[in-house]
Amino acid sequence: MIAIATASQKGGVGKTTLCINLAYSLARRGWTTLLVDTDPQGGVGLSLARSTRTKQGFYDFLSGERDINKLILPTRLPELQILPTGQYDHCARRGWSAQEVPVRLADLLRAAELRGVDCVIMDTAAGLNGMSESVVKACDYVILPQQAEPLAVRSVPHMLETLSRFRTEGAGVKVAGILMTMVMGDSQISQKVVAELRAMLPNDLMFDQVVPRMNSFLEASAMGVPVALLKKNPPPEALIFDQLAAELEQRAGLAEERESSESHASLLD
Amino acid sequence: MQVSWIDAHQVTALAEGLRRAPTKSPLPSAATQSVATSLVDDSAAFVFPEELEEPLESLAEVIVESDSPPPMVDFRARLQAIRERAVSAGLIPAKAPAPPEELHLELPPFQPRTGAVSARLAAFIDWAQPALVDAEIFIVDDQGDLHWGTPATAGLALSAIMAWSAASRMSALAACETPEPLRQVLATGRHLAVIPCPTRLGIMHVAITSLALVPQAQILVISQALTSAMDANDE
Repeated sequence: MIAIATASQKGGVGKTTLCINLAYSLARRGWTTLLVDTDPQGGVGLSLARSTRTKQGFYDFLSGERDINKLILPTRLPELQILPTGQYDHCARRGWSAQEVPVRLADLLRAAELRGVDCVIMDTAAGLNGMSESVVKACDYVILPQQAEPLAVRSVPHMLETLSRFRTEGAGVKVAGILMTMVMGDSQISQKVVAELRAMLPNDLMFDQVVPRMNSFLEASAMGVPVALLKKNPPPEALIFDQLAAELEQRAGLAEERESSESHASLLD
Repeated sequence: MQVSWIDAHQVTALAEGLRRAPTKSPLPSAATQSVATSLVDDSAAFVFPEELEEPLESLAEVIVESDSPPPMVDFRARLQAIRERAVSAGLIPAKAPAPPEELHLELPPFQPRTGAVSARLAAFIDWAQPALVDAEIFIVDDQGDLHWGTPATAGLALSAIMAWSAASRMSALAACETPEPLRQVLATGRHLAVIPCPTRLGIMHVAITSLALVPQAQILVISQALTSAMDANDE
C-alpha cells in the first residue's frame, strides 16, 4: 500500500478537485483507494454529498474513535472508499495530543492496509504546517499542485525548503511531483509560468500532465461527482486524471507489483 | 522577462536535495515521535550492539558466555506498549475474555433416603444446598414439570432447560445417550448449570443458578447423587 498526500502553501489551487478525481481514476484502474479528507473545511465530503457534514470521520479517529471501519463510507464504485473530515469542531473542543497525531496517522494507514487498501489519497488544508505537516510526513509521497499563475508559483522555493526540512526531521516522504493546475491555455502568462518551472526543475519532479482551468470542474463540484461522472460517456477532461493516475502509478511504483504478478493477455486469445 | 521571480539556482539545489532517497521510511518515523507508546518502534528496539559486527563465531561466544540476562523487563515494557497501541488503534480487542469464576464446592458423600419421590428429592436438596450457598436449585423432569424449586423464579432456567432438551432430542445421540450437561450465562448474569440425571423414572434435570460456575468436576458427583436418590430401593 502507498499513501499519497496533496499539499500546497496556497489555498484554492485545486487540491480537493485533484484528490477526488485522482482517487476516482485510481479506483477505476483497479486500485482499492481510500480518499481521506484531513481538511477541516471538509471539501471532499461537501463536493460529493450533503450528508457527509453530519458524519464522523478523520478527526473522530484522531481523537479516539477506535474502529475506523465504522467511519469509512463506501461509494458506488466498490474500489473507492471515503473517510470524510468528521466532526472537526466537536473533536477540537475535546482536543487531542499533538504528540499522538503521528502515531494515530500511522494507525490509520495500518488499518487501511488491513482493509486491503492499495492506495490512500489524503487531502490536506492549505499550508504546510500543523495537521497538514503531520499528514505529509506520514505519507510515502506528496503531490504538490501549483496554480499556473505568477503569484502562486513564487511560493515554490518556500515549499521545497519546507519539504527539505521535513526530510531532515526524519520524514520519509518523497515528492511524487509538482502538478500544474488551473492552467489557462489562452493566457501567455499562465503558459510562461509552466515553462519557467519546467526549465528550472528536473523532469521527475514535474508531472507531464497539467490540469487546465475548465468549467466542467465547477459543474462536477456542483453536481457532487468526479468529472468523469458528469456525463454518461466521460468527457475528455476526465482523461486528464486517468493520465495523471497512470503517471503516478509509474512514479510511485504502484504498478510494479501488479506487473510482476499478472501476465499480459493477448488481445485475441 | 521571468514572471515567476524564482531564483533558478536556489530551486535547482532544493530540487536536487529532494530527489535523493529519504533515509527513513515514513510510517516508522511517524511512530517514533512517541517512542514509548508507538505501535512498532523499530528505531530503538532490537538494535544490535556494536560488538555484534564481529565475525559470527566470536558473536556466539559472547552470547553463550555472557552472564548478564537479557533485559526482559525492557522487552516486556516494549511489548506492552505495542499491545496498548494496537488496542488503541482497534486492531486487537482490549482484553481477552477472562475464564468465568468457578464455585468452590465441597460436597460430602451422599446418603440417599427411600420413600416417596418428594422425600428422595428432599434428601438430595438437604445434601446439596448447604454447599451451594447463594444458589437456587430446580429439579425438572424430561417433560418440563417442576419437581423442586420456586416456580416464580424458575422461569429463565426452565426456558433454558426446555430449549436445550428439545435441541438434544433432535440430535441422533439422544436416542441412545444421556444428554451432556449444559453450562451457560443467563440474561440476569447468573450462571446456569443443567445436569441431566438418568433415573428409573426417566431423565431428570438438576438446574442450578449461581453467581459462579459449577465446576465441571462436581457435575458428575451431583448427577450421580440424584440418580442414587431416585433409584435407591425401598426396604
